Amino acid sequence: MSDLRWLDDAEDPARQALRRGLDESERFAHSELRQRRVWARVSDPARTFRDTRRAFIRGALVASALTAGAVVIVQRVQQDGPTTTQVAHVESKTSGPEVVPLDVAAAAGTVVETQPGERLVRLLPRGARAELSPRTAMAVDGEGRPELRRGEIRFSVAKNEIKTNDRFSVRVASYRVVVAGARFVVKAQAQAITVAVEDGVAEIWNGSHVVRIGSGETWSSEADQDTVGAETRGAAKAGARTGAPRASRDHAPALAPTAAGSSEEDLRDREDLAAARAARAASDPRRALALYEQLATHSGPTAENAMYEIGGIYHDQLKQPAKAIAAWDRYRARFPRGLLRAEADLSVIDTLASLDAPGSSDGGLRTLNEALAFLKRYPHSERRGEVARVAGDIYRGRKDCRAALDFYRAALNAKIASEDADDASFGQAACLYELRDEGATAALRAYVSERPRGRHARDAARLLGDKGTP
Amino acid sequence: MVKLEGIDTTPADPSRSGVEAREREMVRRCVEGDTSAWRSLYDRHFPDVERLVSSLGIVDSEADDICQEIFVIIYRNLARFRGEARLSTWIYRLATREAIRYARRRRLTRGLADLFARDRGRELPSDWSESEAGRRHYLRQLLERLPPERRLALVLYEIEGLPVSEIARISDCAENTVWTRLHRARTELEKIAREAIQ
Repeated sequence: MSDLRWLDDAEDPARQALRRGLDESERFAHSELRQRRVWARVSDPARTFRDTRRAFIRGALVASALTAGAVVIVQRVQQDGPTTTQVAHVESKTSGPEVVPLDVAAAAGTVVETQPGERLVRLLPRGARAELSPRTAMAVDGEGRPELRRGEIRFSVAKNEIKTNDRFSVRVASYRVVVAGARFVVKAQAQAITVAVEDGVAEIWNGSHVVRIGSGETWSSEADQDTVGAETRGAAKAGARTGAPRASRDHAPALAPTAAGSSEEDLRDREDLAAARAARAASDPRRALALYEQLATHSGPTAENAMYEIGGIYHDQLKQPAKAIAAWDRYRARFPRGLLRAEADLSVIDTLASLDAPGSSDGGLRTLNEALAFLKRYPHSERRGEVARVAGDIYRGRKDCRAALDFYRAALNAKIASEDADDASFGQAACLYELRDEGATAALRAYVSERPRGRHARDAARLLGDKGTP
Repeated sequence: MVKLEGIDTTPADPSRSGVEAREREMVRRCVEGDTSAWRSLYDRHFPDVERLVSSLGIVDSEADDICQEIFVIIYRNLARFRGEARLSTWIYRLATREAIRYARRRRLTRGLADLFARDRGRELPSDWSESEAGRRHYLRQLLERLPPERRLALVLYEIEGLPVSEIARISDCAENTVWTRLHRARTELEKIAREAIQ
């Protein structure tokens, strides 16, 4: 059968042009704007049912007259030079943006866009409300998770919903903002992405690193991108796995000095910050350290960032873990609710765990305390699984297999990297073995069959071969 | 008389019967005045109705008006939906009927307006085939000259690339009718295009 379409074999120019015209014609493109416009007219089914077409025309005429009248009134008020109170009064009388619950099944893959001057409210799953500013584009996936493509959205997430494991998150470029409850604004501009929390707490994830910000705090991606220098990338590549959660200092989130970028002092700070980063990237940690120490004597985000970075330099470049921990401790003492607090806590746990030799004098007590404090402080952190695995390891090292089992189970129930899952899985089986639990054999066999090349495959096989295995 | 068209004679598919049950439930809620069900129905079927209207060359504010009319009609008739066909088929049927009626009225009005127009600028210039913009613009004018049913068949087949079975479903007619409309639309278009260039 021929695949030729109509006029594909046309020889005269008129018919050829006709075929080309058909091929070049714009295919139908759905207009969400039209959908909203028409919905505004047919949204009240009871009224729709009652009204005849004539009534619609009459209604439209009346509405037009009212709109025109309202416009005239607003214009008059504006001409009279309204006070702030007057404007607020006028605004409160006008109807707000249309609130539309999102039908996830129907909306999957679509992009909601607002035109200049248009505002829109969408009710999303997980008890979230999204207020789209003008010139904003928001995509929604099959599970109702939004992605900010352009513009600005203010989200409000109901607090009772955030306690579930399936927390509300917003994707914006390579970042993911996970809400630990609250109201916040996400803005995507050409140069930077900004997250401002009005109330509650939000985590901003980029790959494996996270920044946690609270009420009244703002985070910007602008400085974040600058921090990923050549050397730090190298450090990431060379980063050997330790017995602790992988620290993410190689992509350490930097804090942008916000809202005050115009003063001379801030400009100087930015220059010093850039010089310190350059020195660090150029493998001149001493100079970087000196610059960061100087910046740490200042205040605000610059000082906070500098204090965090000092720990990173001691750890990554000067190989002085004790001084690194001391630096992060200083950071935590000065900025107990700092934006990089979660990152600092994880870095401390990571470093302490790497220092804990088997049979050490305190049996990893400080690491354990740090891990338990982290789990208590960040009940919704995506790094909980890794930290729980560390706690499990320490308890097992201290021969407290019952406690270790609890933490291994918590780790395996969370999202963790395969290496952590490997450790937790074997740790759980080994604890059952130590406790002479009936499930030990099954757990060890499961480990061997699921991970024949696992890090502990030999140990698991040895325990299975042990005649004492229950 | 038993109408076979639109009745599915294939063995019962549990997933499909589930869908149909959900549709009937949605319609029932709409009839009872449940606004969220009505919104859901509207959101799901608006793009299809919009495409139908757009295929008939109805655009801009006119498209808003006709989409509104169609949904008013759908709402008024929801109580009569018996679930003998899929809801989408039923909606298409109503929408096509109304959209074609609207397009006919519009064509008549425009024809009358053209008769009295001082500047009869709707003639096709002989150079229409030389640029992409020209081809697209004048193709739209060519399509305006086709009766709505033929235009619908041609646009859905040649531009949107839909299969004839789907066009038959949208247009609420037999597949053979679609082929006939398509053939006539093509012949007519070729004739007008050739005349314009000569």
